[in-house]
Amino acid sequence: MNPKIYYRVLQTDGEVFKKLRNYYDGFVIEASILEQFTKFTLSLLFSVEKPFFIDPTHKLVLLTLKEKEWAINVAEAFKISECVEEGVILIDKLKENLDAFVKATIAYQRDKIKMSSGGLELFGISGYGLEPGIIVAPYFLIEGIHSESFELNLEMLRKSIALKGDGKLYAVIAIEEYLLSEAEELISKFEIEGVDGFCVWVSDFREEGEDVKMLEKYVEFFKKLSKLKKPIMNLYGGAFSVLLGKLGLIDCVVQGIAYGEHRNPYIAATGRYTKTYYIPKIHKVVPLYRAQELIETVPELKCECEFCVEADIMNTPENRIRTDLLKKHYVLSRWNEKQMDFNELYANLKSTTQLLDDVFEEFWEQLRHLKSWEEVIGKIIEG
Amino acid sequence: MIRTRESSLYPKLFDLFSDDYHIFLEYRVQDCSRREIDVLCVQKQKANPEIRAIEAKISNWKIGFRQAFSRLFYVDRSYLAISREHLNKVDCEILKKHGIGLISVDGSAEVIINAEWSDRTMEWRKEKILKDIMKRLG
Repeated sequence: MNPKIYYRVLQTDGEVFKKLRNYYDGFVIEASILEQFTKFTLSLLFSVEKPFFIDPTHKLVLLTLKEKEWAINVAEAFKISECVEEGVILIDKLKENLDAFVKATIAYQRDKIKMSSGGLELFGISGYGLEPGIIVAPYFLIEGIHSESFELNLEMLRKSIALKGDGKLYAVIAIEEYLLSEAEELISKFEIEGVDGFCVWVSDFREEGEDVKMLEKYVEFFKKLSKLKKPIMNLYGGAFSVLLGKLGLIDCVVQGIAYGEHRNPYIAATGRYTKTYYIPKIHKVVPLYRAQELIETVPELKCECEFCVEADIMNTPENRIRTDLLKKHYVLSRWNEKQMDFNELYANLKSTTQLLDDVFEEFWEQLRHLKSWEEVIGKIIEG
Repeated sequence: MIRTRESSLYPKLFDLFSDDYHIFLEYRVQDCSRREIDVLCVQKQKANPEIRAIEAKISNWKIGFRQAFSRLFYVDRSYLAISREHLNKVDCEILKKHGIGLISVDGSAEVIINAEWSDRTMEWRKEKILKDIMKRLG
């Protein structure tokens, strides 16, 4: 089984999404992006005609809301303006207002695109895809099994189920990494009638940075969740998730283009931008200058896709390499991973590990994950 | 600028190469890597000058080695310089394997292993450094 590949929408990625519309399955639109770039988002949805859903509360996941224009709009739309003080969502006030909040969050997902597209219908553009494929129950980060945040999440989920109507409603399991150890109890609480699927966000879980032990817990978590026989989306995943998808543990992997394979909610994105490059054979995004050095050292890592050939990354200074080519290369590479047969993908992983066994330890930091992945996936296959 | 302890090695390295090379200390490479070459030596001849990089360390040769390795992509020859008292800790074989030179520093600096010509140099990276250096030299 091949997992679906969804991308987080970013206002700078529109052209890449349009040009490579056959190389992904759908979109996730964050409410903050939808508020800031409404016209862009609409134009994208109309032109590529892909399934989508709205991630309503990922920016509110720590019960905070920055004083930005989009945040004010979101707070108003979600009917929590009265609950926010100095950028913090007051949990007591939120609880008093929970019915209205849940109702508004779900209505926002159902109606925002449709209502914003009113003008476009005048130009004969209408009909397609105004409805999100799924509705997501509002969520906050779960801090512990017995935490107030967990209770609040379950309460919001129950209220969302009551409002779901004919649509599909997904629960979001957004957890601190250490809670992977308590998967059994955690998942059992989400076994609620009316939930049609799950979105998972393990805070700051870096598939290419974790050791074997943590990766095994991660796999175990998805194994247990998949026993509920509902579709599972990993909201921040990379190639390792694609491999798990092929083993039937994940149905959809969400990421941004060359970012967002993990997310730490405690760290805000900075303005500093370093060009990055995805090395398909090692399944990792690295700074472009580092990728050039790795490929110079191990030429077998070179990618010959049309975008890499055009970018000529080994002979071109990084500031002259077009960012859109690097992004297109990423989208194409992820799609190729998805399309590849599991056995072929796993065999490639093993052969790359062997190839790199002899590589100088200078690069080991960039490559260590391959051995961990090989070990963990190997154990799953062995059963 | 915070002066590191390894900067105490710079004067001896300067003495070793300054007859034939222009010397630049703590040279910041003009790319996204934010790398800084401790001692950059650019041959004084005008046509196709050779560039050398030296990474200085008091004792931690492994970090110095990693840095010296990454300089192979920018320059013609790359060296690790280390204080003489810690010289015996260095794995000379791994340096030789990658063509990285070794300099011992005490009362003076002395080349222990000659650096080999780097076959990893990305010409455009080297040219960028040269262009910047030529601008500085006027």
